[in-house]
Amino acid sequence: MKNFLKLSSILILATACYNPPPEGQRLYDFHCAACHGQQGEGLKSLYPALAGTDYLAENWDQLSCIIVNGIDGPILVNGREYNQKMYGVEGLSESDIANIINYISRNIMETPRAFVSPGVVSESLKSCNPERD
Amino acid sequence: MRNYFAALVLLAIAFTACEDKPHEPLPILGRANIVGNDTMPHHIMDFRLLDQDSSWITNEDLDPYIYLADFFFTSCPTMCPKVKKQMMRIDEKFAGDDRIRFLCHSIDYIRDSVPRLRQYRDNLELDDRWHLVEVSEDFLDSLTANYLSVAYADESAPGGFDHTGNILLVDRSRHIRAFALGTDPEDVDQLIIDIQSLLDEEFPQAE
Repeated sequence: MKNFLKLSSILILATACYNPPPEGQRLYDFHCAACHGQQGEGLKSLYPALAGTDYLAENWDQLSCIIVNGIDGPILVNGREYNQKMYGVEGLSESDIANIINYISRNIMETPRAFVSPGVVSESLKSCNPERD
Repeated sequence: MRNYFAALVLLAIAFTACEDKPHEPLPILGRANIVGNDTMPHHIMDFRLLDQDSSWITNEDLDPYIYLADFFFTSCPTMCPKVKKQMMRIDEKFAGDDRIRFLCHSIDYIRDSVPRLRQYRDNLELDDRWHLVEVSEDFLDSLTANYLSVAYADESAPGGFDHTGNILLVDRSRHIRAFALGTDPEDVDQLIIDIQSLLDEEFPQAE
């Protein structure tokens, strides 16, 4: 019994110390941060910032499509032209995409947008990716 | 009396431990070649590569400098931006230091033309210490192996190429003296210390 209590205490302490990053942050760091930066700051004139940009604010409803399909061709962000091809991210579920968008909304946008559910993502993707399963 | 003696010994040890010792020189990396009775350290092979300004860059052009080398391609969506950020951090750390050059080899022999490399350089606002060079398909394997790296076309890799993300430090005798994983900022912290050591070795200050 004593051993059981000791083991339980160790287990509780060990799990209490483990604090994994939220899923949205994990996905953002893995798929987006290399180019757009940890805080969405971008990289010079090569990769546009996400934080404080008119482009993202104006195309917020298209973000699911942008994540899945990427962007090819020039875009204007805060008056500066960017023309580096962005590849779409493959293998993300609607839930993953919603997590990324909500992470950007809460941690990178100056004013957080409304919460996005996987259902909203699914609807949004129908406009640009109708054959998606 | 015995306690005083012990304290004195400890103090002496502490003082000698703090004494500045000359740094050990950085090692020469790579497998040495044994020719007869001579051991030839690994060195960078002869190359002649076209950079973003349509200038041919050869070993001789870089001989007066120490340089940092990496492998990348302009449409790389995964590792290259992270490595370039770290290369640019090194650039900022040694801003304006004319003893250093940056040699970035594009492994995308299909798409990365001179104008594309020039656009990439301009977009990153890099100065003329940077040379972004084309590498032809038939030279890629031997050059990357020579830099203790790997790069190859892979349709399943993001952007169509896979490669190692090392940043390599080369001295004025074409020896690789240190390297860092370009995606790991802490590893690059150590490389920055190594760069300073190599600068001190290669360009000793007149006393």
